Amino acid sequence: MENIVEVDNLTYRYGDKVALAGISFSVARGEIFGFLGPNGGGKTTTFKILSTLFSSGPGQVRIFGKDLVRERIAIRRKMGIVFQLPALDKKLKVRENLAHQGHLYGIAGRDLKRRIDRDLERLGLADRADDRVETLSGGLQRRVELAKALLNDPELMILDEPSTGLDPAARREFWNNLESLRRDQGMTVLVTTHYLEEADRCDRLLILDEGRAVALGHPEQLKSEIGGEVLRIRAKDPDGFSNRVTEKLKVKTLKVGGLVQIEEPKAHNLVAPLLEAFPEEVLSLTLGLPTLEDVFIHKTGRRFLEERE
Amino acid sequence: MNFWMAVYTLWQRELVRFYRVPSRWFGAVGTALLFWAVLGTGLGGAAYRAYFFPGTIVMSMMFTCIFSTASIIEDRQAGFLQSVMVAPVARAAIVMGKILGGATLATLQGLLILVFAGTVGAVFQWGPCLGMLGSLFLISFVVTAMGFWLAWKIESTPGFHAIMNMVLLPMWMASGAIFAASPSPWLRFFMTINPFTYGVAGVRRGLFPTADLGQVPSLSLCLTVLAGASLFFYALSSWVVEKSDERR
Repeated sequence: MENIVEVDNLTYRYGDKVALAGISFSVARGEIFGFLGPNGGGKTTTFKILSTLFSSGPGQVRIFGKDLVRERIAIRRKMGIVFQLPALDKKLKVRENLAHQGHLYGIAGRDLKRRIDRDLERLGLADRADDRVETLSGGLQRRVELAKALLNDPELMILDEPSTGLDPAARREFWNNLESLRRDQGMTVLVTTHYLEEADRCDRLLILDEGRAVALGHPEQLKSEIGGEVLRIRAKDPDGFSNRVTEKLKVKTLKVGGLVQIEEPKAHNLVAPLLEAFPEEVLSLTLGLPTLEDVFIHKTGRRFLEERE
Repeated sequence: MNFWMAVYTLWQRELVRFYRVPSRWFGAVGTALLFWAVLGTGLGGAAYRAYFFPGTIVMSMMFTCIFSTASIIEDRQAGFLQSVMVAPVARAAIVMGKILGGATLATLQGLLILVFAGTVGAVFQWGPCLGMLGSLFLISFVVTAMGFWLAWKIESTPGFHAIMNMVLLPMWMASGAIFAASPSPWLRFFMTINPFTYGVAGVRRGLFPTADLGQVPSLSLCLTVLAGASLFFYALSSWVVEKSDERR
């Protein structure tokens, strides 16, 4: 399949601080490709480079087969970008915002009007066209951002934590829109997120931590790599307890955020032996299938701190 | 083609934003008129009020420029300008659109003061009047372009206001707005190279075409100097924006 984005050993630094320590990946046409990681992991830097806000080194990034440094303008023409922070002028009406966007992409007159009507219709915004953006709810404003990014019929859509600040219903709806665009237009989508439920909806996921790629694959594939089930135990003395469990039951343990964690294909078989062997020490115990958080823990040894607004 | 479409759309946005926030119409004009009423009366009589009038127009223009360029700082971190920066448009077009928008607004704000032109004995003649409009627009362009350049380099809005006031107020004071000449040679030199001098002089020539203004620069000199300064500061602003792209 044709690759829309190819990234080869991408590096970036802010002064002395390394933001990206050499990441590589490629994205095929029509994929929804996610970047997951904690804040400061490198996903926003990656977004800023791919969206052409920051410059990469020559030869590190190719989009549509073109070098990002040398053919920036040609690449921009076929990209749609949604920023984490609102990029709408709130004093302007919805239609005016879209008209400015069109003009910046060289679209004007009847063609512009046709496209604006089409995108507003497509996203269910037609009745709000002449309202000022500041009068719209957060979810609707996000939809206008999406409409704005769609105006130039982009082949590639890049979104930076697009659903930050939205309630769960609005977030789901935003993702439904993204998925239908991908299905109907064959659009390729790159999206950064720190919400696990969003990451689960990507075709492939790149997990970033401290500027490095720690995992790459389909969310289910990443989870299955951990193997079967995850057992989390709250114990009185986690350090001593995890050593004693390893000794007695011959299983590998991880200590994560004060909890002792066991990843095993059939972890449920360990529940009874654990409780029999350490009746005094186990305070509570949960058994579950691995989540993307477990993938992150497995790869980095740390908890994925998910911020909630 | 694309260049001018982008310039047009950014220019138009500045204007629309301005008239959607009606309070902005009064700040700059009100401050300048207060200065005129108080300083003009305090420092002399009717004759001085007439002398001070061109400087008042330029002051109203100057305050508008400061406010409209301050928005660049917030716009740049977040908001509208971010999506402009990833559009397939030359940086020079973005800079031109923003500066033209600010300069147009500043010119209009300066012109609001003209309502009082009758009270200071101004004389209307077509040629000088057009020259005055040209001078006012060009000095607005110069100041907006300077503001753009500084706003791009400064990260905080209060810091920007402080620097703009520190740079622009002395330039305005030493422009022939308040006093005509100085015995100090270095101040005379500064007045000769100060673009505000030509802005104020251009307005003065346009308002009082029949008066004997002595050493005040002629309209054609004013327009030439201001056009040159406009080009210079436009090039400077475009250059800092281009350069911030290459930073990595």
